[in-house]
Amino acid sequence: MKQIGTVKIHMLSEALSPITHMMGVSGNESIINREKVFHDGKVKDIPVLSGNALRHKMIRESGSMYLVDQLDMRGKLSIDQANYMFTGGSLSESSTNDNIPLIADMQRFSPLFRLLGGSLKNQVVGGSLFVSRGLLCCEENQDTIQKQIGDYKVPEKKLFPAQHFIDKYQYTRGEAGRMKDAPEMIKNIDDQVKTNLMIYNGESVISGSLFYHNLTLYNVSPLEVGAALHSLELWQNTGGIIGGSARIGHGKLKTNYWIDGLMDWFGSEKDPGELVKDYISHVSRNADNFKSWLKKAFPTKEELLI
Amino acid sequence: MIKNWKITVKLASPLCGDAPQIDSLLEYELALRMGMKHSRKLTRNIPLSKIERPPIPLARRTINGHNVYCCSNPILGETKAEWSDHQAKRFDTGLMANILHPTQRKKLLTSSGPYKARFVPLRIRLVQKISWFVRGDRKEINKLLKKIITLGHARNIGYGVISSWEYEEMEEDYSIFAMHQGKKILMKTMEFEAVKNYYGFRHSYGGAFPPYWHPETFKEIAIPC
Repeated sequence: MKQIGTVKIHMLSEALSPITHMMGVSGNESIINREKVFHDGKVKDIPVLSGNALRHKMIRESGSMYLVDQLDMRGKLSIDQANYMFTGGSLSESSTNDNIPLIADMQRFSPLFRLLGGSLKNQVVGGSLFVSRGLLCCEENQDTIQKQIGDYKVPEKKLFPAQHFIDKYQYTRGEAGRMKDAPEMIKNIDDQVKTNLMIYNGESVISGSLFYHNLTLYNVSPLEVGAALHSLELWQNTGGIIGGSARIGHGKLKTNYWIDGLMDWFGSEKDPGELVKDYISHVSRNADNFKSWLKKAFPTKEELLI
Repeated sequence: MIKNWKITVKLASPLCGDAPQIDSLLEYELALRMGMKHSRKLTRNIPLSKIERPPIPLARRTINGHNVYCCSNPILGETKAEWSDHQAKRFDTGLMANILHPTQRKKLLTSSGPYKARFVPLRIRLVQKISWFVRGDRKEINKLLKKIITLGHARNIGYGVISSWEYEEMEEDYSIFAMHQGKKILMKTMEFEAVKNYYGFRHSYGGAFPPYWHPETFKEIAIPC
């Protein structure tokens, strides 16, 4: 397999609905996730999308869900297999030996997990995917974005300060006993009982805001690039959700991307669409191999007894 | 050509955890390129004597009978802010319920054990640059360092992104010690018994030379402070 080398996928995501990626609460109010940025001689708290959330939603969850459906594994996985695919697994056994054939098989049969890495029962396998945090396109982040964006130029015009992109939302949680039809539906309504009706609110980043983020794929083959692009596509097709309150329409991102480094050793540029097709065909060709690998790496107690 | 250099890395995102020693960075990178076994799968159980060390382009000196690379510890630029972030991990039982085999749908302990939901604190520092003083071959050092794109912990989720590597030639060699008011101020972590005539360090226990994480390198050490 020909190596491409290091590929960087730059992304500019537009918020299509309020983004409520939270870091905690203050009373009933949710506080949006922020990080400290040094700007104009001062340290300021600026909204940010965590790399951990982006990595999970953009690549791991969408890519793993595709494999589950495509390889007909729904309703057939063990807890350890699902834990590996959807959260990266966890070490549960000690070992002094690395099972290199098992790692080699995983890398052959699953470009997605070669990219993400993860923990088998007794060994940790490194990945090759570096996900940046989602930087709000605002005045405070303008220099940082320019540093990460490579040869591309951020428009010279000054962006608005971050505070312009922050708003608040408020909702009310209903109470079954207060509904119009409640007397007919609920037996023995007690008017004296304390109500659960509650107003809750929080901060959000407004619709129309832009976030810059990127994926760096370090020393990868074309199949891994295909796996990343395919997972991204699936994430976008399911709404590009990030952060909380997706059930009430929050957290939709529309992402546009461009790619640096899609050259092979011979200087010819790879077509992203072709890479995705190659990955899909690799998944179909290796369906049985991957399923047997999963069973071998995460055997159930019954299988261990055979 | 072997000269004295100040190597500075400029960061485009905050640093998580501590900055690495530059000799371990160079050894790791060179080992990867040379296809050496330990670049990927070196474990604590492999004896140090069996580990082949790659020939990194740094000068070596013998100090009080101990061979050391001529490279200082990382020196962090001004920390503009420091805070703790958290890395979350949760086995999403709601999503998984129908994906699991019916015999696997059982009560799951998520407060401990392999499926524990985690919210791990990460120490984050807003540092714009990190420097090391070294004595070595700039061209060869740069060949190795320019491929490194991130530093520190939690690199896979966006911390420690490098924007550039810079080199400044120095007249004096500050890689092991720097003279201050006639005293030798220690600049790099070394075995404690090797630094009897030095100042400006604290006594500790840990890795004295690369690979710093290997138990056989653990000794009484002096850490510059």
